[in-house]
Amino acid sequence: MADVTTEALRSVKTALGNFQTDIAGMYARASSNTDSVLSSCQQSVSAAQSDVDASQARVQELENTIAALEQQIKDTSDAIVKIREKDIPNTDAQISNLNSQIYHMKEQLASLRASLSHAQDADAVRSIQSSIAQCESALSACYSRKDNLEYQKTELIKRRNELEAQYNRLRSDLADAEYERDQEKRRLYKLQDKLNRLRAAMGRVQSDCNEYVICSKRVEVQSDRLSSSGATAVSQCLTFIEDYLSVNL
Amino acid sequence: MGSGSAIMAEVQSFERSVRNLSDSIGGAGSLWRDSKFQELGVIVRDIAVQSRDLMTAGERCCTTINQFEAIASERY
Repeated sequence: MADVTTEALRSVKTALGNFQTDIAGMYARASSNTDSVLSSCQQSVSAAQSDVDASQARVQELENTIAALEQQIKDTSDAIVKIREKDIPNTDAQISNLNSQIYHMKEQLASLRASLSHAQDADAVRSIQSSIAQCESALSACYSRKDNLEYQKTELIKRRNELEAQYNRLRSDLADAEYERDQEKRRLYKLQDKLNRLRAAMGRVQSDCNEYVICSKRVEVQSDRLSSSGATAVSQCLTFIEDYLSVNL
Repeated sequence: MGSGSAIMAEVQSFERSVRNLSDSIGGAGSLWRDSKFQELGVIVRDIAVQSRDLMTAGERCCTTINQFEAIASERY
């Protein structure tokens, strides 16, 4: 029975010794660990803030791109409307006017040639021939102007087609930019929500870490508080056991 | 966040130590009944109360850290 008792007391002594070892430095370890945790948490909050800032910058960048595309679309549309409703009709009107002039000049030329075939004297022939030459020159000039106008019209149509293709590309780019902006705005909302929740969680971590450190300190100083002699409570227990063992052994 | 794990490891280690101490005291209690044991028991009970508070605070701290980590790991 005495051996069993001695063994039990030695077991208590060992457990108390282990407990004393565990208590030693607990407050310092708790402080160090929680400082490390809080530092890591702060880094996470900072990273989340950086994500929010980057997303906000991206949204603003896309807003600027959209504004620029809208202005380009308006300019392109205005240019298309001008070509379609002003430049081409003006050119058509000038060509039509020239066609009318050419028609009348041909009639005049036919009349002059008819007159020339019936002319009786040399002066009349020279006069009619001079008129025919002037009419042919004017007719040639009209044809030349008409060719130029038709070339201009071809170029206008070509330019209009280019602008219409550009307009379609810009509309497509605008749709892409608006889609990306909307996506980024949704992402930004989630990132801001994450940041807010992280800050709230950070507050709880700080509070709970502080409580843990306080409890660690309480446990570590508990022995001192309980010991009237200044030795730790656990040491006091060990002393009890040593005293008991020395008496019984 | 390794320090959160360190806190958990610290709390678990402390919990084992408290359990070992409690088991040893309890085991000796059936054989050791004099006033010295009564004094030791009082001291250990006070320490046990503080230890319980420490473990509760430590576990709550780890839970809060895990919740923080879960939010921090969200990717958008």
